[in-house]
Amino acid sequence: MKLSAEHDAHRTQTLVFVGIALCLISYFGFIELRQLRQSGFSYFYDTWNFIDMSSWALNFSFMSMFFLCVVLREEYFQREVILTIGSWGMFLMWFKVFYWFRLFSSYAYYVRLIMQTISDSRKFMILVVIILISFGNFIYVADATNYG
Amino acid sequence: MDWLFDNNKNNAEHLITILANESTSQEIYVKEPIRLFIELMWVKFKPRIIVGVFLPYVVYLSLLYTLTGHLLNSFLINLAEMRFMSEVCAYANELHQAGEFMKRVSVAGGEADKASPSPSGSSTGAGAATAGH
Repeated sequence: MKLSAEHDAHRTQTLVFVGIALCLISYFGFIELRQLRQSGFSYFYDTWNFIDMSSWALNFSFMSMFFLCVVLREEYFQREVILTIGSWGMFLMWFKVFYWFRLFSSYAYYVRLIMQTISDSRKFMILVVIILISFGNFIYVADATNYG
Repeated sequence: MDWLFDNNKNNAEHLITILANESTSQEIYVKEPIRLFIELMWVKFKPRIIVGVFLPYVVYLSLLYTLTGHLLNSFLINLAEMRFMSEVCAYANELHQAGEFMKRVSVAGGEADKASPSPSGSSTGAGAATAGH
């Protein structure tokens, strides 16, 4: 009985949170769609729009899956799947928070500096990744002999 | 932007679109009139962006943080616990029913032995114990 009461309390709390989150998802979805309509295909030229759209899609999937589980009291989707989608959505949202700091002049300089540094060192990063992959592949193949 | 260009509404919008475009040459941003225009616009736009987009985004982030970090996990674990407990209860109920059934069978067997004891005086099961005494 105690477990059931605890579950009901959880469910009510979760439903309130999910309801508010779904309203906000609709609001941000509306903003993105309006931008898409205004900009047309050039919407996809901006990397931040990609991040916004991906984040929105991931969060919407996560919320829908979770909402179904809460309403129907059934684990229709595996917990790991829901959490993986949610974690990627959250990662992109935190990434966007970094971008939001451009609103404030005291942070804007640093945000721009970091973005410019990443942009300038992009080609060097590609070379570093290739070097890492080559060594990783070498060790992976050489080490495979230990396990037959 | 209407407060700036009352007669022709599209002028400011057009200029902002050009300035917001990533492909616009960087040189344009160092021109004094453009800088002044951006500063004037920014004073009006910043509070609206903060109230209209930034604050809802912070609320949205906090909600998702709570949902992914705490509520989802505890809700689904609670759901699994409930299911496990209901399965355990169903199993216990089955065991209880089976026990009751076995009890009834043994009692019925004892009564049957009592009612018709074997001619040699030897009997088996619960009936033997009752018949012996």
